[in-house]
Amino acid sequence: MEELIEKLKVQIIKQLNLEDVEPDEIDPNEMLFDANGELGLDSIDALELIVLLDKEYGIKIKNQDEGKKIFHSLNTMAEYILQHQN
Amino acid sequence: MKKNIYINGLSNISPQETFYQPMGATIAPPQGAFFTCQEPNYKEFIQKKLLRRMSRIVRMGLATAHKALDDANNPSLDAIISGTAWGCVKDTEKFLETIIENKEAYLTPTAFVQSTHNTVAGQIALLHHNNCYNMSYVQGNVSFESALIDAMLLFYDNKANNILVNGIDEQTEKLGILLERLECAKAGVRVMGEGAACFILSDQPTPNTYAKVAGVNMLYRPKDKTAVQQSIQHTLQEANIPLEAIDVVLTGNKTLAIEKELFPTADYSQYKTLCGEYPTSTAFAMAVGAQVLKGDLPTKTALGIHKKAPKHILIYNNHQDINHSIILLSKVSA
Amino acid sequence: MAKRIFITGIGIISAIGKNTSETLSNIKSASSGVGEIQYLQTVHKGKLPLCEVKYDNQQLCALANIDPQTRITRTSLLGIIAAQEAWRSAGSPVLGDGRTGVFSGNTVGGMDKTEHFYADFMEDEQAGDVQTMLTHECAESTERIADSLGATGMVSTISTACSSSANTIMLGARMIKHGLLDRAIVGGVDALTKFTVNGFNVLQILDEAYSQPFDENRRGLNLGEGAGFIVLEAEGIAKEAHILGELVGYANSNDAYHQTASSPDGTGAFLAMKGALDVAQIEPSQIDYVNVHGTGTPNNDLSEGIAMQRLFGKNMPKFSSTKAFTGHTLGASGGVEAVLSVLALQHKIIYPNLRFETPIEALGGTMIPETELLENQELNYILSNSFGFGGNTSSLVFKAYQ
Repeated sequence: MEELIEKLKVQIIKQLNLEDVEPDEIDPNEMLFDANGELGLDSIDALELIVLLDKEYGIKIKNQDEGKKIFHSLNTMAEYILQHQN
Repeated sequence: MKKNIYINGLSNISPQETFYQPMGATIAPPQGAFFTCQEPNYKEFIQKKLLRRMSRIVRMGLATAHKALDDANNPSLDAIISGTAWGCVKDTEKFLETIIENKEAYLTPTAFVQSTHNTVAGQIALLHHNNCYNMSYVQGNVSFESALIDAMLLFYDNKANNILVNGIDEQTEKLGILLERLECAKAGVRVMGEGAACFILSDQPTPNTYAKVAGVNMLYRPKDKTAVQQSIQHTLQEANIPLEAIDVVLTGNKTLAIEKELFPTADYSQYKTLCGEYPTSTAFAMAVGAQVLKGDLPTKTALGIHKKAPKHILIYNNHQDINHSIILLSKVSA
Repeated sequence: MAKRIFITGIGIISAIGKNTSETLSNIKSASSGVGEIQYLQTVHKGKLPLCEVKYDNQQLCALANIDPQTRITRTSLLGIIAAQEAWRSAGSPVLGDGRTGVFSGNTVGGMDKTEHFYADFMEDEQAGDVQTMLTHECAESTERIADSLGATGMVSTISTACSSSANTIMLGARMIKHGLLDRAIVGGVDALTKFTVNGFNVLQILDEAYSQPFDENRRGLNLGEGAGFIVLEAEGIAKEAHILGELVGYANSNDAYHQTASSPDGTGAFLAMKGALDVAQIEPSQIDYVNVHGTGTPNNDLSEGIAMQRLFGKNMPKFSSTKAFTGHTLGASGGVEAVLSVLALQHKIIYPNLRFETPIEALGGTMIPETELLENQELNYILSNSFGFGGNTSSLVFKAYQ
């Protein structure tokens, strides 16, 4: 799980072009989509994360509402990947 | 119906050092067949978390909008009108390349969203929380002129007091290769450029006013030389400016037959030697022309203008005899 | 007193026909243009339905009377066909006097050709027919249209995403109003491309089934292609016998909420509709029919519905989305729907909103579009909405000619 989280951090920084963000700065429990939060991701980023899951982990998410729960934090994302990866 | 239209603020990102101060004595030369913009530090104007997904043209568009508004003392805007021929080239390339490379899978939505030609005008509205009139013109070499004419109509209709108008185009490495293959770009023959110039136009002058936009006209496939000259004369007549009153012609052309016949005694400046050839280059010309009319000496020197205190400047650009653009600027006290 | 602006010609090509008469008869027989992909070369064939114009480029060349050997984009072909029809139906007025403008709305220009060239270019930067790139810009199709008509007045192109051609109609009207032009051919065109299909697909706003605008269970939009142009002429210039209707209202604003999504309170849409009514100097209650933007995406229809409720209150006029017929033709949609609005005035009909089943709960369950073709309607004013990415929102008001 921890290994996966570290990998995800790097992938997210690349996918979302988070200039100036270091992997260590992202707290696995932090809300990714909090408008006032450090990252302040939005709905277009959510779509980018859907692409990331498809591309890197072969997981397809069709429903954006479902995406919202999965992308709550790095922890929830990693859990979802572990559950759905074959 | 006709109204005076004033340039109350401007900002210009160009291959020259034009953003933080007026153009200086040192003139930047092109690199081979291309001119590239000297860009500002965008972090001064745009939040970091927004910056990350913006391509150069969006950054240039937003930074010049910010600075022009500041320059005009931040009036509230009644319209935002963009002119761009090439649009958001970088993001278009990026999305297109991924479609081809990944066979229509694993695409990035950000590039698609930012590839549309109205991205810059839309982003200015979004960042300034502005619900007003919003338009983007994409008419090749008269994209900027189209935007200016639209702004004039809004003033005539009393629909606006302050309007943001810009002319923006970006170069990319890939576009450069294509332009070379098309023989549009050729070192020593034709240097291609890019730039972003933004203006705050107003129906009232302020102490910061640069100049008046006394006339704008664009022609599509005019019959002959005479038709162009008549159109230039008509633009001057409408503004009550006699031919001999034109002190300076900022010309986008290499051969100056049409303009020299009309204005034999004017000073001529071929402004593209400073910014290169690109579809909205007349926006660069309007920015430097307005600065000259406000009495900016370094800009006047850089343009090679000798007349002491120019009062009327004509900007004329002929693109392949298809699109002709005519912009007339006048000194405010004139 | 400002000059009145009359509509004297209309022309259209879309998935439901290559001209106005085919379009009308397909609408009357409730036959939608949506179907399995036949022409676009894409991996989505068989999975995503589209509203394609049912002709390949060679057939379009024949329709446009253009040599098939010519280097020309699908975009230009569609535009020429619709603009020529509009011009003929206006009685082929003189265009070479410099007093006629040609304004076209467009989003991806010659991308249909560019994406083929680019595949070669990516393999080898010196490969492929580089001249293709000369047809890439949005303005190229507008110039081809102007040249095909011989128009020499102002020529311009607007690109404000899906509201592009509504804005050209507005520009034409304003130019005529100020006496800068006597006449303008206005509207827009877009051809289907892999670029747009994949763009909308990755945004997850395409319906894998046939779209259901304004339905509670709507899933997204079906993309379409086509062109729609109308001829505007100034009062005093327009010949009585050709007058089909009048353009009385127009407005443009910006939602300024999100790059691709509409605001939850429909601010931009409300301002555009309200602004258009103000220019027309009429009250909301005078609108007899609204041709809604109604793409079928969860977000648009909700936001547009809220804006309509804000504007019309309890007196909701009849409304429907014709995108269930034509698909969302993007930059062309404002032109396509302007033609449909004029046809509605002319024939006193209101279009059915195909495939509607259940009203949207979040709109109180009361916003029910027309589901059958209504004939012999007393139509005086029609409101047409066009909204796009970048927050661009525009509305037009058409009036029956009296």
